[in-house]
Amino acid sequence: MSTSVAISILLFCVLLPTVAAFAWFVIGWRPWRRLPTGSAGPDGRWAGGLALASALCLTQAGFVGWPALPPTESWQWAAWLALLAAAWGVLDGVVRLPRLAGIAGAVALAVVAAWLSVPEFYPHVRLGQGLVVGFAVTLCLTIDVIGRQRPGAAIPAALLVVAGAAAVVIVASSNAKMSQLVGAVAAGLGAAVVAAWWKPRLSLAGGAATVFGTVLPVLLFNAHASDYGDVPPAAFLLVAGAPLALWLAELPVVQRLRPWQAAVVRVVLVSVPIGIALAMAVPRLTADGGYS
Amino acid sequence: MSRVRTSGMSVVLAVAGLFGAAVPALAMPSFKVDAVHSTVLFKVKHMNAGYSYGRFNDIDGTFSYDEKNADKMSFDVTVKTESVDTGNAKRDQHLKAPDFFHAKQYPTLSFKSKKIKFLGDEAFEVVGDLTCRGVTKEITVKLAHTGESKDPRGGHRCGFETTFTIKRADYGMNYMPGGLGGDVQITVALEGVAK
Repeated sequence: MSTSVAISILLFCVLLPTVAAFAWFVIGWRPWRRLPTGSAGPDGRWAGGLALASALCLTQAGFVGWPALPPTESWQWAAWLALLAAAWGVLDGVVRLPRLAGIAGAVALAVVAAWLSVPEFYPHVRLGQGLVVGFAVTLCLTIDVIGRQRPGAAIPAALLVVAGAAAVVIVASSNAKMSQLVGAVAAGLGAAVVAAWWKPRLSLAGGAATVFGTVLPVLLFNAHASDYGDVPPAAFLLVAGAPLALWLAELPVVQRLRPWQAAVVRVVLVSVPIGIALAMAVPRLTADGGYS
Repeated sequence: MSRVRTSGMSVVLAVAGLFGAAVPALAMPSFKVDAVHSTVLFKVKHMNAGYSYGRFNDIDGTFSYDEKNADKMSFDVTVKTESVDTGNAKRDQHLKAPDFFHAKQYPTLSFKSKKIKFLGDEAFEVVGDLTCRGVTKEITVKLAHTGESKDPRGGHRCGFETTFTIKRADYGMNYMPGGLGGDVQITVALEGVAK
């Protein structure tokens, strides 16, 4: 790899997305503010979606190439959907919509995402749309509900594992651009881990949950639809469903643990399906002789 | 009487049909591309160091050749993007994916001539539409008539060849701008059998 390409990847796929996402998390949660004891403090959830969306959009614009509106290819909807989800997150966070309205918004966004992003050439379009809607709604609600109850670095760390693995599975399917976009989301989640370490009240509920829950199924599905690397479909499903393992950490036995122990358990629980998915996908990277 | 008139008309139509079929065959032979003896090659610079070569193994199309009247000539060639072959299976998989040809959404590349001009010495200038990844752009190429002969089975064969360069970004292929050259040189060698 030439030096200029390596610098471009480092800049647009790692550094800038991380810095931009970190900036949004800091603006949203203002960690330097001293809050009265027992105060819930300012709710910065409106910024979480902007953080992840800005990370993805910087990679899209700086390295992958910004798509037209409407895009010519279904996977290119990811950036536009991320912006839409982030805007919904801002609205939800600032206006503080009723919970039911927030859920209705997430479902509506999932339906729009499925309608726009399942390619016509896929042999089972309805099935594809059903999968995207199902995963998008389930992921949004899971991250939102658990994120509200468990602020801090554990949920961002678990989702960082998921996004990092998604990037590997997608690149194994011979879709490097989609992998870079998911990698940018992973960079944003890395920023969330650091910010949450600094400010443990940080939560991915709200906009961040909507952006992650929308973008991940869209890109995983499109990579599966254009899979030339023969990655088993189960690998995509396992990655998309891995965040659901976070529910297991809500069992009383885990809740009785110390916070750092519960955090480790969350990451380990998510890592189980991720490990199986990677075991299926990674051999495809080097199959047929590999190439770089 | 009616039967006689009908028979007479049938004869007239049959004769007219014979002439109708014979006239274009004499004036402008039409050829079907022989995929086995035709080639579509491309080369692109890798990491600003060496050239990587590839080809498409599935070529189809037709062309018409009239050495006396270039206006009556035409070329209509299609290649299947799934047939891309660079000698490395993993790279071929990537080339078929959305980062490059996006073979599932855009199964073919095509060239259709619009205007052909005789340049002399068996050479032609061909203006036509090149369609790749759903983008159609007019290009102009210099085409050489490489030969004509009868094969052992009596088939009339005719060949052409051209080399031209396109910018891959013009066709939405912008993956790795620093790692892969922006220019792609394409060589098309066609051999057709008269239909």
